[in-house]
Amino acid sequence: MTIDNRKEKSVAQRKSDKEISNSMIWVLFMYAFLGLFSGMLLVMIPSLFTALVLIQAMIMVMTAVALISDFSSVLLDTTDNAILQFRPIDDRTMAVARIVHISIYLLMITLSLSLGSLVIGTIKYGLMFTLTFPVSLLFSVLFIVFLSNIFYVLLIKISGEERFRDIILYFQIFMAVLALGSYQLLPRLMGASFLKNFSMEISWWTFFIPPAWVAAPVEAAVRGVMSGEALVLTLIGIGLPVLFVILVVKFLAPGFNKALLKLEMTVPIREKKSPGRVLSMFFSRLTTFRPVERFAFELVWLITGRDRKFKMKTYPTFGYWFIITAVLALGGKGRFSHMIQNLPASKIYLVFLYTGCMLIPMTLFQIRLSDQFQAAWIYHVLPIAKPGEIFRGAVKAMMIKFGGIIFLLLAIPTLFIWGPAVIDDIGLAFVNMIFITYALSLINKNELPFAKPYGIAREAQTRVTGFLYLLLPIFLGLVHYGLTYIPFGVLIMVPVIMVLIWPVSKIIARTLWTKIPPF
Amino acid sequence: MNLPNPIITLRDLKKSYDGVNNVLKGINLEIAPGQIIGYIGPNGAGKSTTVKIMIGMIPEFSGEVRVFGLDIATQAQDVKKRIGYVPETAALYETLTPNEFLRFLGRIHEIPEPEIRKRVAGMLHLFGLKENADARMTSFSKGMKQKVLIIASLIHDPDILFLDEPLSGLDANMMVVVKEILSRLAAKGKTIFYCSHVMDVVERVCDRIVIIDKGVLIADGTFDELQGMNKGESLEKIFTQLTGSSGQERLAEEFISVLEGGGIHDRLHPQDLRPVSSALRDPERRLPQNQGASPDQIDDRQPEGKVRGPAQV
Repeated sequence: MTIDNRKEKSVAQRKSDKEISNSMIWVLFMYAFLGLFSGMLLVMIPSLFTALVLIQAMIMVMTAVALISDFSSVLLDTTDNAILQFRPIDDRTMAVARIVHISIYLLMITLSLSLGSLVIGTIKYGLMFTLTFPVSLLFSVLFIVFLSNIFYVLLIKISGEERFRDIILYFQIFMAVLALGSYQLLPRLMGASFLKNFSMEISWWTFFIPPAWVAAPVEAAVRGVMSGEALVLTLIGIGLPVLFVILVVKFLAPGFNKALLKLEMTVPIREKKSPGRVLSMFFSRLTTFRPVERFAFELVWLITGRDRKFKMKTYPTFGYWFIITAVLALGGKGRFSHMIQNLPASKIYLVFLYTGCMLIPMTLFQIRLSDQFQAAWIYHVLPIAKPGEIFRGAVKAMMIKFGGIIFLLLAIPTLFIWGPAVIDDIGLAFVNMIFITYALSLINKNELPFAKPYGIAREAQTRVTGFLYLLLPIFLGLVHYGLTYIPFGVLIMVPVIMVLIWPVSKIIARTLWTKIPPF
Repeated sequence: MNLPNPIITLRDLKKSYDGVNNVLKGINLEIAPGQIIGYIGPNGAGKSTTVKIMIGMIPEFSGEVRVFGLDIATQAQDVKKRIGYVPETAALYETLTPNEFLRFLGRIHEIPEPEIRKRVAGMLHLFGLKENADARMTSFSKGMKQKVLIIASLIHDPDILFLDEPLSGLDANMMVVVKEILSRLAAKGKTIFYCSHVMDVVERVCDRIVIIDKGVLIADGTFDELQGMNKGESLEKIFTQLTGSSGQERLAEEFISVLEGGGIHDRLHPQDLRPVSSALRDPERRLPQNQGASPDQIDDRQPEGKVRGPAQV
């Protein structure tokens, strides 16, 4: 009885801890949206088997990524251990609590993901579908749970805690980008004509793709015919999860707890000759000339490359921007190949370049924040005469690091599609990017890097500044667009902007301590 | 007291946050070079605030503060070049490695690069951090971070060291090493301003002890002088007498009786509890953040004790 009570309690505690209510509903809503679109496949693809394979594949991938990205926090919650471990709760209770929590979560995810398919399938294929589809779902989820379990164990065995968390982070970022991007991409994919006559025959390799295992029995049940291949697939679909259960319970579970323990005996990440350090030193030597500026440059460069929270806050934006750019470039209503032919005539690359320009100031806005904001005492203790140099170093680091990446990503395809004639445009956009970043960093120039906690930051960005972040790149982009109609206009503008950059960067570097809130 | 050549002078130093909460109520203090000053007081007495003002971290205060004869209000940058500081909280940008962090500091102090490398490598080696010199500090224990902070405060060979609980988290052997380093630095003419809760360390290490309570200096002198003034034998006893809190034993008794299921007989006042926590010796040092057993923590545990306690028996 007592144990039962505690079980519920700890599950309940976990739930409230996770602040499940609000964000969870959002996530589920998004999944349902995805599920609806995948359910449309049933209508669009004539072959039930093919549609089912695609839907199951989507559900499997989504559940796996969700499981890995969301559950790492539950699985690896070490604070939880510190509170609970020395109290009289045995391992089994903990395990049960975890399993209960994960099951509830999975149930909600799969339900929201499959609801669309279930409704659409029932309408099209009748009651048999309603009965068999959930059963097949159960097995595919089971399969995924144990697969990700194995993934976890292997990952833990080969890496220490820090690396492990890093890997998980990339799953989380992928998930975030996927979430944002799916709104853009899915409807377009649905419109694609190739889906209409896309069908899959059962051939030898079908036996190796998991979604086919669970799709086959559903199709067989709906059709009422059980072919030999379908039978084999069904057997694999049922047999493999069962095999996995046995495998995990018998062999991996005991090792898993030990592995988790090992995880807490942290294996540090070493940075002796890490590329980040080498690059930061190279570029800081190239672009900064004062000790304080160099200090800030390298500090910002290194921390932005390592801080998980910073990555989590900024990288999805980059991914999303990339998707939007791709959609803008290749999407539209016309035919794909037609679009590619039309591209060189348009000047749409300017849009890409200037949306890229918007990203860097936003990233810069993020570096004020850190979970370790208390470490900012260091700025106040060191003999730093002009804190402005810290800002300039930080701005330079972000400009070169992220601006560099964005421009490389953009310039190469741009040159490839439009040819060398647009080199001057890229040049002006680059110079403008520097100007925009400097100018917008004036807005929050009084905030030292990584010196504010997350959470209270929201208030700082008012509507006005948010508006400016968009307005300045758009304005300069329009000016640029106008200049393309004037011969040599773009080329002349480059030195003009460069001259403008100089005083702005001076103003930043001249910021005094009196402008900065004390520690 | 009027020293001929004080290295630090505080005159009528007052500090208030929001104009209401008076943290420091007129501190007067002169410190001679080459001394180790023990600066002690209960939680919230204003120790850390005093230090932060002296090192130029808190620019707003009233009164006069001179370090090396320089006015901290106007010449803070020149002062900062010649002082070292270990903060109370071991807060660091943990994604950096000790090597990176210390090199950054050395560079700001404009120490030549080869010299930085030599010092950092040597000091990390001596503090047993050689293996971890290139490891991110995320995985470091409190003691390891504390070692990095101590090295950071010394890297530019400062003339005055301001230490706020510098030994917290260190193991017994390391404490001995650091104490020895401090004595030798003082022998070389460096001044050390040492803030702490741990009375016996202050008693043993410091040449002069200054006690502050509620923003006012209440005692100042060598350990022997303090002993002469009061009847206590250890600094701890003197301290509890001076800070005017009696009845610690009664409080401890109450604490135990609460644990054993009895109620609280009189209302306990949080203020009463404070001296107890700071007078407790080593066990409380292991509590996170060194906050001691503050009253709210006691309240937190109480219901849990009731729920879980009987279930076990």
